[in-house]
Amino acid sequence: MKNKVKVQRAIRGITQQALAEIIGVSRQSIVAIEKGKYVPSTILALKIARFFEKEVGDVFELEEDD
Amino acid sequence: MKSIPLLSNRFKKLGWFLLILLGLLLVLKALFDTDSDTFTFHVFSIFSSVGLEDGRWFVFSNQDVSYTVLSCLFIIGSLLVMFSEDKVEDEFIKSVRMNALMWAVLLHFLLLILAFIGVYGLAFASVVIYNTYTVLLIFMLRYYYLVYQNRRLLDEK
Repeated sequence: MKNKVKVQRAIRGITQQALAEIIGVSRQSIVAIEKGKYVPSTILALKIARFFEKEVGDVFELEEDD
Repeated sequence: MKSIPLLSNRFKKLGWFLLILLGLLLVLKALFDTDSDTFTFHVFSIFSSVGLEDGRWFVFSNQDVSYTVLSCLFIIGSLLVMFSEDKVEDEFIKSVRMNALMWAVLLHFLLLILAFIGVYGLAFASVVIYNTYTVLLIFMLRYYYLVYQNRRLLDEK
């Protein structure tokens, strides 16, 4: 799964730590999501999308082999 | 499905203390094992046997409990480390914990198969006993390896 969390975060000018605290997860989680090492749960994906005021599909995208 | 509740993070330090201390003592005991009456007590056993005698159920007998105490405390320490929350407990750490548990169970049984195939006689009993600890040790190795790998990503930024 691809995601645009880093891009959205840069647009908002917010650090990984700040985003992690707002969403309620560790900075490790945000880093792992951005690097594509971890696929967040539905709830976490919805929280991230809601924070960026985007639809989930605008932040997270399925890849061919998903 | 609700996740299994974990112990508070405070228990991790106690767990590490027990694990390291008792681990060292177990290794020393394995290397320099000497028969001693110091830790021999009259204890209740669900099942016990002496040498080649037939085993007996639910009896009191004189037993050296040093290995029993050391092993139990080592296992308790390991379980405290394994099942205590991380400082920041979130779904990512939960997935790391699950991954480490799967590796631990899988490798434990692969090692057991190797033991069945390659070890015979009384040595087999020793190997199987030592193999009981592999679940605990492999879990911790895998868990902290994954956490360390991810922490390196934090530094890359």
